[in-house]
Amino acid sequence: MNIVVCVKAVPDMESDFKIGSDRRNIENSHIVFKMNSFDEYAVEAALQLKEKFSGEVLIVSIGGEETKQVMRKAFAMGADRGILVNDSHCNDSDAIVVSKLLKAALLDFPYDLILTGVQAEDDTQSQVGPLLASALNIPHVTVVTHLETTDGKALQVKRELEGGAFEVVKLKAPALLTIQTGINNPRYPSLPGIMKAKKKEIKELTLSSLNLSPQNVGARGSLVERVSLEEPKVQSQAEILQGSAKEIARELLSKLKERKVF
Amino acid sequence: MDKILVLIEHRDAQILDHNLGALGFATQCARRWNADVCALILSNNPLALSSKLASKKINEIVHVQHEILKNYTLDGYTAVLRQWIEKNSPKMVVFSHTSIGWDVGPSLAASFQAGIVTDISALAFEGSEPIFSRQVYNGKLVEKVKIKKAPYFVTVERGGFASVEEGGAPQVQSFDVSLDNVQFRTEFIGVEVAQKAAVDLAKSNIIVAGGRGVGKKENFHVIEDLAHALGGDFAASRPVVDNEWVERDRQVGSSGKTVAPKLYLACGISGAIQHLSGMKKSNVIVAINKDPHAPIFGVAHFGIVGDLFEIVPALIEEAKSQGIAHR
Ligand SMILES: Cc1cc2nc3c(=O)[nH]c(=O)nc-3n(C[C@H](O)[C@H](O)[C@H](O)COP(=O)(O)OP(=O)(O)OC[C@H]3O[C@@H](n4cnc5c(N)ncnc54)[C@H](O)[C@@H]3O)c2cc1C
Repeated sequence: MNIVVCVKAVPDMESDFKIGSDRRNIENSHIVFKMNSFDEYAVEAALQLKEKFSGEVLIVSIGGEETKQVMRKAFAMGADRGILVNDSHCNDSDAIVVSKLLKAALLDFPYDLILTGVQAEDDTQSQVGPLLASALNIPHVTVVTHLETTDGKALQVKRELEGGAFEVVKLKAPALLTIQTGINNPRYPSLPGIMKAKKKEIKELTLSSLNLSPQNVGARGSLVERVSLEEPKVQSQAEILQGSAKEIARELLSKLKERKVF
Repeated sequence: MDKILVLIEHRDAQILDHNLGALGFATQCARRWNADVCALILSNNPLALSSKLASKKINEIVHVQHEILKNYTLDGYTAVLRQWIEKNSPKMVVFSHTSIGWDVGPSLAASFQAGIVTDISALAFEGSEPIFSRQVYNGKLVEKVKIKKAPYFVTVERGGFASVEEGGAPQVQSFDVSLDNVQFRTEFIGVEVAQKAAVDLAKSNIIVAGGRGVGKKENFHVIEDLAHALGGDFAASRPVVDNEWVERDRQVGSSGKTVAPKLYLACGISGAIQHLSGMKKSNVIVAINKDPHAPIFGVAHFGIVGDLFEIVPALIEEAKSQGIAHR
């Protein structure tokens, strides 16, 4: 069973984000990148299927140097090789363009299943998975929390609905699933895994090797455009309590009594 | 007259509440463009559902009736929406940001060579051009985006917009579809409801919730101890449940419980949009977080910037010595 996992390098969400001078992007210099946490679950799901049915796990991404580290982490977990679309013309592409780039990158790979995270932690669009599926003309199921297959072809999945309910869906590979956190426990890379990861291949592609023109990607090729990036407006400014832990505890309880909580 | 399509979602023969916010969003656009808001109900029995919308200030309720539309399927919904859009050329197509909206919206937009923006939390206009605000970086920043040309496809934050107003008398119409040639590539098997919880958090007056910041399962008892000392119940954010530190029925948020207690005390929870949607209506919200920029402080009434492992034990001790739990 050949499985593609689309991964994205995202900033650590606990970073102190600063808006750049262009007012449209964050300042990147001090940001530490990591694998989108939803994608870790997708990689794990792929590895479990590979262990059962054998085959290859291919990691695909669009990005620059920071993305290679993230792909190596997937290799260290057990993925086999990677394809990276590394071309600065692709910056500022909207999700539809991203899905076209991924489709082009996958052209020669005989996949049975494509997995993505439910969303990327940074821009939380939850679009690329379904868009890639429709570009490839295969069915998709989003927010998958459970995946069963006895032959690697017929799939039975559970997808999460609002409020804690689940929907059970059947479909056949080839298909695309967007994977939700909690579906499994992503493994930690082992030491031998980390050693092997260094030797695994990342094939880098540019627009010209994909036969795509710069006009059709990036900001120019996209219909969705970021106008600005801003600090959130908060509705209620929280009253910040200060002092020693003991002082804070006293003050908080007395404030809560004033508010008639107790 | 331009049209705005709003997809109405339903489950268990009920129209879901978040549709009213999606209709509210659509009416804001309709006012600006002098457009008609059309609410589409795809169902095996749309008539039984549409009474909830009968007095809303929208222009049309469109019934699409077919046995196969009893439950959501990607291919069924795509086929119906595509047929309606081809016939009516709406200026905007509005979904809620839900397991249906994000499932069917993006590919539908792409098939019309249209742009799509998801999980919109605020709306403004430059002339007649809509500017959408949405959270990025886990709510620490907000981006404003636009779509270069109509039609505009959007999904709007669940609970992010005020409900559509009352006092309208929408026309009810039916739209005939042909689904004979549709290939259904996914098969709906059934819905499993969440297990009955040992504790009904919706009835709790005081909830102490722990998040990923609690670090590991062995630490979680501090959250339980504080809940106990305050005479309340404990709850958790999603990663805590995913990591199996706590049972799933204590998860607060869009895919868990929605609560509105007198006090919600969030410890080591960042305040992601999906968590906030389950607790932001709480009466008093207190947040303990070591990151002063954590978005949870944006909804909190009282904030403590610091290490929960210092603050929570102090709170437990103080609450015990004051006998809070026995008041
Ligand atoms: C479809 C979908 C549905 C979802 N449904 C839900 C849902 O129902 N409920 C839900 O909660 N999430 C849900 N999520 C996940 C959500 O997006 C967030 O990932 C999640 O809420 C984050 O949980 P958290 O705040 O505990 O963790 P994090 O975002 O990792 O935050 C941990 C916080 O702890 C703080 N911290 C760390 N150590 C300490 C310390 N010692 N003292 C004090 N503070 C500390 C950090 O500063 C940080 O702010 C959903 C996501 C999707 C895509």
